[in-house]
Amino acid sequence: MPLPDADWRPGALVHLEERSCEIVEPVCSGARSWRAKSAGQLVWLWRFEGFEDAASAREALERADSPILPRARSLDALYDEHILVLDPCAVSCAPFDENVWRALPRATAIQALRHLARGLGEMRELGYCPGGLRREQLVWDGERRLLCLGDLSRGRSVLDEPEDLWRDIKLVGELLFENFIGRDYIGGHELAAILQKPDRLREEGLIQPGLTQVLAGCVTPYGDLAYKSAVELDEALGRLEIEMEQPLELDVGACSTTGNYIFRRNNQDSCGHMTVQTVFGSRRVTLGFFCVADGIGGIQDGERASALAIRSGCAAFGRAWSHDHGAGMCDRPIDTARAIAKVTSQQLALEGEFDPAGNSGGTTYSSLIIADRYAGIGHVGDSRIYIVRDRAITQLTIDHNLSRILESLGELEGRSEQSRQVAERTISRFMTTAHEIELARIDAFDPACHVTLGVDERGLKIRRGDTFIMTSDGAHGDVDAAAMLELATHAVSAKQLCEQIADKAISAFARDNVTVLVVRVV
Amino acid sequence: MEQAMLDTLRGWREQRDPSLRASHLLPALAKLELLEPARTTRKSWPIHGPKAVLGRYHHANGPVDITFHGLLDHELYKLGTPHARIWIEEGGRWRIERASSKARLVVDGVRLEDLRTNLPLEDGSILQMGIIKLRFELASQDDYLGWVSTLEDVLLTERAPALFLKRFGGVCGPRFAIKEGATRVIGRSFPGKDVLARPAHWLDAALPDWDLGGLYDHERRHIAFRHIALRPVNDHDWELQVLATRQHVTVNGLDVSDSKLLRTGDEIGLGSVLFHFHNPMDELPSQRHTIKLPKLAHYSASVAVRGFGATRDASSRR
Repeated sequence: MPLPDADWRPGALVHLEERSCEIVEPVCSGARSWRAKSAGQLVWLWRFEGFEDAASAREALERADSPILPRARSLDALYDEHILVLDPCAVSCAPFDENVWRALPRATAIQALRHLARGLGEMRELGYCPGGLRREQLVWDGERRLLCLGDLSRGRSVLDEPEDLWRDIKLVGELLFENFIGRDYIGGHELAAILQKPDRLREEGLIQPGLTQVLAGCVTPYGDLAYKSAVELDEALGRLEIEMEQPLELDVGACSTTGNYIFRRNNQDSCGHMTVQTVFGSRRVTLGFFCVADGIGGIQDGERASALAIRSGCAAFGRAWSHDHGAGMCDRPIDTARAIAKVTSQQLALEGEFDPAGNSGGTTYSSLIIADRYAGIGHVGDSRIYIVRDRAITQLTIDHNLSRILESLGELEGRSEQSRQVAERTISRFMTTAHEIELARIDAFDPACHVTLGVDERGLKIRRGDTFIMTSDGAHGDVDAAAMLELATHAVSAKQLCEQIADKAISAFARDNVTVLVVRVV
Repeated sequence: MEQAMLDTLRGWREQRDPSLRASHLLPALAKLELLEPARTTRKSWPIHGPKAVLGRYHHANGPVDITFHGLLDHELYKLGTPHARIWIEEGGRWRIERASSKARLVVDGVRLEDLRTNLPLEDGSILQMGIIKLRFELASQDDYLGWVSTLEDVLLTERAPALFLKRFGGVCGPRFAIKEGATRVIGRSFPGKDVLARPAHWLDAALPDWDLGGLYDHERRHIAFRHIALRPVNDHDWELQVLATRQHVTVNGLDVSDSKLLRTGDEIGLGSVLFHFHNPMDELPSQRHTIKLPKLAHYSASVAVRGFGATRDASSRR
């Protein structure tokens, strides 16, 4: 005889062979899955009636690694039942709540259903399945935004028949319907009828591209449209996800001026940008390359070097896009930005060697790549890239100048103002037509940004509302970060912001050329 | 970074001979280990020759054997160009001296003040060069005679006159055998005219016969795309001609701007990289050819503006 259900209650003790557990509460609705404490640790207890199903579940859950599945610890006999002890897949989770589910953003719901489809597929690969998944078996992990499997105690081995998969995945269609339409699922027969009538689909609000295809695949186990595997379902949800994506829009403004200093005869600064927007297979991708260069050397040499750097950088960006339509750039924006800087530097060295009379200058080079949802940087010199986010401004680049070296050596203190200025304008890294720069000396983000902004190896995750400000030292030398932040807070466009920053620098009668490039993510 | 990615971005394929990064053939005689507990990776630099110049490269003073690649900017800033010379004397004892009047060098707590003095080095000696501290360690294979024998074996494997790459003070393996009767160019692969912004200035020149594009990034930095040509003068002698317009060439420490007749054992500097010229028709030289010591260099801020960094013209800045 099994332990009576009435004895499974909060506070009750369950004595298993290897441990004693104090029951805390049900994991989800029903009395088959319990949250309990064992030796101070939280565990889940699933009550199985048959040993074979329990052993099969244990074997599968020992090998599975889906984030929606708990890990099996041990299997114990208790009266006529078999208790599977598990490490919870989510510490803080709540039984499935329809109201919470319907209020979720659609993108979040699709992501959660994709994880559920993958988890079900993984379980089936390992030989076990829920045998007709119901929403009462699910729990919602609000922290990770996942639908987890909280009770599989009535599951069984996988059967080789079309209905077997459908019994588990039809719930995915139901949940998708409820999240998108915001009311109770209308039932499989009704939905199957509606899906064949465009007027009814319109009436029900089922017009989202990609949605009807998923519903049709889940609603029946028969016919060509029915999904034959969890992988097919996951891919269909992926296509729906792509249809739902809203591409980033980039608002770009740039200005560069000689300035108004009477001894400044030409503009040795250059800047440039390229943006590409593509739609391949419904996937909309925005890519952008933005660059500021401040020439070094004689009057003509600096101008030529900075212009050449911008031209070479833009050309390399174009090649990167044409090579794989930006796929590599999206995967590795930092690597791509640094590699573009490297080949730009080599191009300068080539021009310098084969036309030494025409190319003898150098230049700073600060470039930003925006590839889908990430940004990367390739940076050499003392031009700067800032980001304005959450009403704060952060410099993303390190100034490569003598001042910073002396600061590292502790030798900046006590120097005269003139000496400090010399150190400030002495650049320790730059691109030159004399030789190419080593890749190791091309920086990406200031390492401090890894902590403050969460930059990882791939790059900086972009948010809508971010504003990037790129400046030559003629701009940031006379307009400090606080002033830029103030202007950015009130500017209505990238063009307006860059012009306001440049105007502020010019009104200070800056002795240098002034260049500002602004990218707003909208 | 993947070479294929760089080739895609530059729009032309750069040749990179992997053999240029092969392991050193000669045994290390000693090594310098950076003492910096805060670093996550240990850094050390082997010494593969009985004489080595240590410090930072600057074209005005010529190549150095050990450039301490990988140090941080402010650590490099305090190194002279060059900083010190180290050598093994008869009897197997190592000694060190300063190569610059401003170069700070402390050996086992004793600071060298005079350029004419040198100090002995023991296994485990602690050096301070600029702001970095190094431990001098004798290698287990400290048999100098064995080193000489290996060097002879390496040089004599080549039957034709050849240029041998040097790293860390010794011939390391990669070589370029010069075929008789033809002029050979040494440099790096370069693209066609269509890749240049000003193609009218492009030389209709052939690609180099020895492509050094495969050197490490910090080595090839100062290698020109067409750096030098080696031209036969007669059946026995070879002449070096400078082709580079921006990069420097030295022979035994002396700048060469036009051409120079070579003799076996000559040490050729292409940018920051050293090569050993060997002609099998001549006897092996017993000593490293160094007819001129590098000029004394200062690392004060005024020089750093020129050598380490660059300052824009005065009118361009406040």
